[in-house]
Amino acid sequence: MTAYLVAMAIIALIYGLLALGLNLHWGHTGLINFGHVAFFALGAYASALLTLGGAPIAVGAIAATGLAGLAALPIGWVSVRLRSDYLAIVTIGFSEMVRLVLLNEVWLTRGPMGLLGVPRPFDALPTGANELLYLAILTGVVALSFLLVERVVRSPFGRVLRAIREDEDAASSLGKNVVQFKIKSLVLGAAIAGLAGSFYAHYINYVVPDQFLPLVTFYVWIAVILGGSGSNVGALLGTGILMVFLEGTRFLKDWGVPLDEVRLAALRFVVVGLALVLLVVYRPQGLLGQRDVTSGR
Amino acid sequence: MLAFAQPVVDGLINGSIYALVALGLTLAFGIARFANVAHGDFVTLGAYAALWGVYGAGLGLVPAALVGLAATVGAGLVAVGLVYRPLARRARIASVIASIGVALVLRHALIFVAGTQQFSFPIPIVRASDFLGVRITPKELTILTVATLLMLALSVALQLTRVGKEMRAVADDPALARVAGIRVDRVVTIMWMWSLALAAIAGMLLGVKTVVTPYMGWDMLLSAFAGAILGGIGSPVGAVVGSLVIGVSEELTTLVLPPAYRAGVAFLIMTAVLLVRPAGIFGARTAIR
Repeated sequence: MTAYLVAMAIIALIYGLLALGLNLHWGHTGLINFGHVAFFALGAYASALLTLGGAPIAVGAIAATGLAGLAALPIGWVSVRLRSDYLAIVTIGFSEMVRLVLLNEVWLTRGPMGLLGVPRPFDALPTGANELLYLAILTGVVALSFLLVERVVRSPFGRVLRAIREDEDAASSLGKNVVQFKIKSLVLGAAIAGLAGSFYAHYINYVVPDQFLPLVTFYVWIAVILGGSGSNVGALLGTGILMVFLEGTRFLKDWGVPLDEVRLAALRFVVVGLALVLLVVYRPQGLLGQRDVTSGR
Repeated sequence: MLAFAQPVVDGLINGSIYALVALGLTLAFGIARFANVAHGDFVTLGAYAALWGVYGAGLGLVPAALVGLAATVGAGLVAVGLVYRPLARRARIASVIASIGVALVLRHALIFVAGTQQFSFPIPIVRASDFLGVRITPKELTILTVATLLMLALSVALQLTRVGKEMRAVADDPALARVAGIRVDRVVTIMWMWSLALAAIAGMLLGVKTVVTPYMGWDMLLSAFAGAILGGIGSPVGAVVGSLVIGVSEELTTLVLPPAYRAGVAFLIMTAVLLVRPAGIFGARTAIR
């Protein structure tokens, strides 16, 4: 049972990192990034490839963070030229393109077979102890990321991001270089997602393209909106609630709910989708958001 | 020359199905003013509902198609009434995000009922005929014919009927249309019915052409969006032309790239258009930011 809780906590914290990154994009800057999973995937594959090639895990993690951050640059250039819903479509497309490349550049990624045997840290320690240590380090990383984004959004820089979210033209006419600010927000959020990818790869020990479906992006969106767009505490809280729901419903079968795996999973998605719709319609500020990010034009 | 003929014809067949989806997207974009990400899943619903008509109710293909139409339009109007209409006064981003939720609910409700396995319509396999070295099956000819007739019907409806003219007026300027005495809410509802009906038929045609899976609509959504954007969002003629170009481009690239990258072509064209000429080929307004 402890092992299960540790495993669940690790996955929840990895999603927490993704949510912190997306909250910076969407909650603070108003950028509608529907391709967040791309940065997660790039981080995971970068770290897996490097460490399989012999690099230390720390190097893999740093490279994952850097590569995902770099990958956000083109999205940044595109984002300033596109209205919100076009950006949504382009970013979905971007994440699908990343998955397409991972699926087809077999020489590099081994395609649908994926990369197996991604090294796990602290393998010398007994099972259980190594997971606890991993959890401890990940908790530290999430805490540091949280402090970082909190500091960023409370700085003058963060105020400009919110100004852009509220009214891009106004921010621009006050002499703020909107392009620069959007790109920085995207790069930082994507880098955090890349780091999450590295933690994921080294915890799960293998990466395959199917782990990086658009559904992952939408999970993170639901977590951020549930917690309250624009609140970093909310992003983590929303992730926690979503994870407890997703994991908790796995036990429904043990309580005699007569559904097979596929149906149960489908039902879970129906509930998650309904929750997203209900939140947007009835409580767009989520649990902790200060205001409704979707109220402006 | 003939090496190109076959992929061009295949591309036109795919493109004609994309066009029906893109028309629905562009109508919704022009009148309800947001990108309806759930549109692809209504395509899927159309195919599944028709499938149920065939296997569940034992109907012939045409009555089953009517079941597919009715189910898709009905379910879509429920989503419009409960989700899209209440959100119409809010920022368009709210509708886009909510449409993701609608898509998730719809897709997984279908999986809940029908599972993840693929189905096909009971259509006899007929050998392809050969026209000057280009192979085409009767099934594909039917798809092309149905799609073309629908495009013509929509164009007549938009140009000549009263509600079609009202729809174009609402697309141009909703406030002005309202002042002119047009019942905007009614026009928007009729637009959704047309958009959903086109999606349902596209789903059935796609299901007849290949197979029915829970992901078929979502998987083609990007191509259809690319078609609508290339043609110029809000322009029905553009949606058709753009979709045909996307369909043909996807097939032509398979001559030079691994077929797996087919899906990337639509994305590249779409992004390039958005950056270079955001109004597309036929789009009048450049205000897309």
